[in-house]
Amino acid sequence: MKNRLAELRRERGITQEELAEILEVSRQTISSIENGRYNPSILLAFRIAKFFRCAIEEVFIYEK
Amino acid sequence: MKPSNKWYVLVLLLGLAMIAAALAWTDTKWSGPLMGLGAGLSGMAAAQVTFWYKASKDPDMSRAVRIGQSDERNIAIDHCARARAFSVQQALALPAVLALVLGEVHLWAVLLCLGVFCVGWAVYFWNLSRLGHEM
Repeated sequence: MKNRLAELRRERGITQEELAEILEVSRQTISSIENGRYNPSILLAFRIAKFFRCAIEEVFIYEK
Repeated sequence: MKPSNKWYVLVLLLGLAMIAAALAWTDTKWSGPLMGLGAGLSGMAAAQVTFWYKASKDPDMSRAVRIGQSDERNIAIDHCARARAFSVQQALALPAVLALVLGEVHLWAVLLCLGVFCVGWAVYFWNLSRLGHEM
C-alpha cells in the first residue's frame, strides 16, 4: 500500500517528531509508514486522515 | 498487558525475602538457588521500580514511555518477535527431550521438558480458541 503521508506532512511544514507527538505514536512509526515498511491499523489510518482533513483514500492508496 | 508497578514491588519484596532466606539457611542445598533467584528477581524488579519512579517525576519521560508502550508498531513487533520465539522454542523442545533421554538423565527432567513443551502448545490452542471467539 502506497501513501502520501510524507508529502502531506511536508505541505503542512511539520516534522515526523511533531506528527508523532500529535498522533501519540513513536517517530519510528511515522517514519516506517512513510517509507512503506509498515501499514498502520485502520484506527491510526483514520486518525492520520482526520488530522490532514482528508479522506482516508487520499492518504493511503491501495495497490494490488 | 504490562505488569503494574505494584506487581514489581511485590516481586522486589519476594526477591529480598529469598535472599534473606538464603542467608539464614547457608548450610542447606537451597541456599545457592535461593540467593541466585532472589538476586535476579530483586535486581530486575528494582530496575523497573526505579525506572517507573523516575518516569513519574518527569512528565516528558512519562509521556514518552506511555507512547512507546501503546505504540501499535511496537506492539506488532513485540507480538511478531514473541510468535517467532515460540516457534523456535517449540521446534527445539523435542530435540532437547531426545538429548535428555540419550543422555540418560533422570526421568523427571525428561518429563519436565516434555511438560513445558505441552503447556506451550496448550496455551497456544487455548488462545487460538479464545481469540477466535473474541475477534
